[in-house]
Amino acid sequence: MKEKKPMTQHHLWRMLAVAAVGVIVILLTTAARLAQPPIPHDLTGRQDCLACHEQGVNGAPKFPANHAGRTNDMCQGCHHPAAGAAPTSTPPVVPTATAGAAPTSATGGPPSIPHDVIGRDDCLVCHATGQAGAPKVPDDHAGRTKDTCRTCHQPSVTQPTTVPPTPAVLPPTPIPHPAAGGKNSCADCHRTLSGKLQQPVTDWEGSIHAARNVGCADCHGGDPTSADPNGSMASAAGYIGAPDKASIPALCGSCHANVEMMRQYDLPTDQLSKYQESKHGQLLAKGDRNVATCFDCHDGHATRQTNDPGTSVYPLNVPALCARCHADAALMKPYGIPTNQYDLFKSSVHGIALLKNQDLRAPSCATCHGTHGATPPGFEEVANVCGSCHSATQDYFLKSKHASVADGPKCVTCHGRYDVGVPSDDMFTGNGQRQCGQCHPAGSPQAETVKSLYTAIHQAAITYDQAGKAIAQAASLQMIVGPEEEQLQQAKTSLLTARAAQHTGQLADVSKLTGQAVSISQQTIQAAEAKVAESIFRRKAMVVAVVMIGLVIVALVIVKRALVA
Amino acid sequence: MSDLSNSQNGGPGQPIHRRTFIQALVGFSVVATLGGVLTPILGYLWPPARRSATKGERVAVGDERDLPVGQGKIVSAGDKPVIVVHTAQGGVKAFSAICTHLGCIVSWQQSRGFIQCPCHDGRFNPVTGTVISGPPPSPLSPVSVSIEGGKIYVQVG
Amino acid sequence: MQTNNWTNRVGQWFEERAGVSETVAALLHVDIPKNAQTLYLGGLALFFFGVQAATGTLLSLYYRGSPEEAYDSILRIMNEVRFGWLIRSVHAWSANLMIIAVVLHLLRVFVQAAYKRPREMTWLIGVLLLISTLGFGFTGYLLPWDQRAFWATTVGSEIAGSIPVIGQQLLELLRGGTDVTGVTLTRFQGVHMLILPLTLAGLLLLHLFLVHRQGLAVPPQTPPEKAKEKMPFWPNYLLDELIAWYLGLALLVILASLFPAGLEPKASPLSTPAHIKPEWYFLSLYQALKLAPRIIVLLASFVGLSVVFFVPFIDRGPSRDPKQRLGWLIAAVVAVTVIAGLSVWGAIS
Repeated sequence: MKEKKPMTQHHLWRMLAVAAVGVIVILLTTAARLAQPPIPHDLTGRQDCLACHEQGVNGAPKFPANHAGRTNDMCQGCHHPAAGAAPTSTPPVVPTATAGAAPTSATGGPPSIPHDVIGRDDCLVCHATGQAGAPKVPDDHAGRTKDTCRTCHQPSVTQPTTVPPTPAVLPPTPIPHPAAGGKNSCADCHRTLSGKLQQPVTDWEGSIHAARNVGCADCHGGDPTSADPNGSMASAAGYIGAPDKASIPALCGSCHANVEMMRQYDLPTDQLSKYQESKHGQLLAKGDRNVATCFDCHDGHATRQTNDPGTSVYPLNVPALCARCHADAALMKPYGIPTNQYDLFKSSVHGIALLKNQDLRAPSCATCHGTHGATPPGFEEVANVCGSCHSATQDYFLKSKHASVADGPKCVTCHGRYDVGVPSDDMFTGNGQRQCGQCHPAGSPQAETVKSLYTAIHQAAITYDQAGKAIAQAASLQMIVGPEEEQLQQAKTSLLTARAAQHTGQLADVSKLTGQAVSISQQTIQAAEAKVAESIFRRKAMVVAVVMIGLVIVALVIVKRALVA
Repeated sequence: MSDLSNSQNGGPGQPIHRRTFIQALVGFSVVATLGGVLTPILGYLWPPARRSATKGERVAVGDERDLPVGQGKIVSAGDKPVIVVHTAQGGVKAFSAICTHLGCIVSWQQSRGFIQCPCHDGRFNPVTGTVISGPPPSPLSPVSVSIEGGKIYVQVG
Repeated sequence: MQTNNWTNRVGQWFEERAGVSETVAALLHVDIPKNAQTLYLGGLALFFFGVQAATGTLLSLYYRGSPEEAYDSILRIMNEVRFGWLIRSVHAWSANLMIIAVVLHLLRVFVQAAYKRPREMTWLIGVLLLISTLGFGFTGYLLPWDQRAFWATTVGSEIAGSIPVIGQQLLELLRGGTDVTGVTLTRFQGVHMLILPLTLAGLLLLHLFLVHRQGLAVPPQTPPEKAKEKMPFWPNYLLDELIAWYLGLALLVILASLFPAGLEPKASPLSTPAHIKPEWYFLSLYQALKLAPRIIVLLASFVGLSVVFFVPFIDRGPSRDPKQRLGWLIAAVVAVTVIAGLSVWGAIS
């Protein structure tokens, strides 16, 4: 049995010291906690602490001087929401609240916005003076601009969405379609006005929207049954005035991105999502107000169906439409985009076909750049863009070395982009721009192939022309040359196919076809020359016959003289 | 005339010469005329050697059994190229084989079931001749085709 | 005097059986005025008609008269049949030359007032012969069934249709319906190959019979003594005529060889060519219709044709002296100038 040692004085002091340290620690942390005040309010939408606490706005304590230089993400490292406060994380969908009421947040923060915020970006329009039933901004908000309102005040009204939103994708904005009952007081009144206030009505009346009963209130909100401006343009009725440019795509998308709605018209519903990926859409999202939106291209209030020749987006009118902005040097300066595309296009084969010959098969800007998703295709994509029409040529091109070389030539390298002209055999020769010699000058390994390709095609073309001339000569002698012309068709087929096949860059493919063209052309030349020879023979026979007749006449004259004498 | 009758009786040499001379001239005239006129006429009447036109200016382009369903070929009918296709939906059809875009001769794409022009990938429906895709501006003109006695005949002209 | 060579023996064989030598002699052994100036135009017209009959018969051996086959049968004649190009080209040119000869013959007879008593009937039949000849030209033109043929016939029958009162019926009678179709082609073929040849042959027989009966007219202003001088028809006049015919033949050969008959694209009722004109002998009427109101042109043509037809009964003066028929001659010159001018104008516009 061990003896229990009695507690010595040393042990006791040690215990007391530890306890004291512990108490001091606890006291300090508590003090520290007391020194870092908890966050007394809901954090919903209030991630920007500095917006209020930097200046001490709205009763928020100004942070002490020793916090200078600290950013928003550091605050919650020390300050935490008080117990009982609402949870910090909030889903994007706000729980419903009774519309019309002005519920305060759970912890008594700034009142939430009880109304739809679409088209109501300028809070101060109503709240500065307190009109239309909007509460007036309290005096301690003096000096604040409309940009800061939403920092503290968040909408509590449900913002219904018809499309489940994904991050970075702007969802279509719902438009309340008030039951109009066939009335359109907006148009009735604005029709009697003049200038800019009347123009929208005139435009709208000729539009497809008017024809399909989409009226003013369907986009602008308001009450179309009320003849009184206060009633018809009441914000209570949803009136939003002229929508902000940035919100236009989503506004149009509220119908045009709605499959259920558009199905009956068999209209596509991808325009909004495509637009957001386009250069125009991307810049608009960044706040650029100079880009085109639906309203700019689709003639604003005068929107018509795309197959209507009068609308700006009708294929024949598209180049001029795009040129409205893209040919404006001042407008394009900030982006550094050239502005000569329309001029180049007008004199190209595509431009002449589309604009002069009114041939709808020809491409407009939208054909290659896309319509709503307009973006210039990348260099590697060019062959597929051109190949969507020039499929046979693309098939040939893909067999060539050029297609597989990383930054090798594509269609535009040789044929141009906007200024596509009629290709000629000169593109084989020479060392200038847009000729084989640009990359394969004389003396390079491929120069021989270039020369052989040129020779094959050029020879075939010359022989073909000779055959055409021989036929023309026979025809001028009044010989009937139908069979020869038919034969020449075959030569033409081979020659044209050879010209297309030269995109493979393979001499074997091309010379097979040019060989056919040459041999058929030569046969035709022989046949035509035979006809010419026949014609010459006939003329000679004619001379013989006429001489014979002459002799007979002479004989008769002699006989007559003999008989009469 | 009186000279002649007188000269017949008397006078050696000259009158006979004269008469036979005139007879010779007349004979020459008659023979030359007859020859010059009859040669073309007889040559014309003799049937020409080329292409026998059977009834209705049709040309036989092959046997029916050589063109099963799904196949097609190019034939020459009166110096015009014609494409003949045995379609499932419409039987044997024939069209002018000259593409309405730039005049190349089209061909039958058996694996894909359409008529295609090799020059710029114009495609035509084999039952109606209408354009499926590509640059041709108008359909291929149809050609009458008939089958008699196991042979396929294509109308010329 | 008979000699016993083989030609005489053959002749005697025939004479014993057919016994036509007296008739033939009666036809041949006639006298005509020594200074008759026919310019051989009537004979040439006859010659060209003979050429037409021969070449036309030959063409009918290869021609097929339906819209589906006509064009190709012509192509075949031109390209495959031996001398086919020659036969067709001669036929086309001889048609033009025949019309020219007939018109010039009419003018000659008119100038010489050879229509006066007792030759009124000869003249009337002659005008009918002219109309038949123009009918030949109009109907034959359609037969190749190419664009020119089809549309010229359309335009020409429209002119007929514009005659007041009977116009529409006349148009439908011509076309065999309201439009130019295969029915028209068959109708024109029958007229061209059967009706008109028989008609013209009959008229021609009458015409020649009358000419034989009455003899050739003496040209006006012939002094009476000269007027009595005669020359034998056979062989003198006939030899001259024959020489003229051979010259005509030479002309045909040259024209047919240097300018063979052409062929435009096949007739397409759906595509009207840019410039349609009737053939040259109708150009004056066509051009006049473009210039003056229809009723005036038709009236003028009708009156003109009637005057030409009835001139023997209108110009009843006994004298054939041109000085005493100055009015008529001036009228003739004016008419010819106007028609020629209109034709040229129609050709170049």
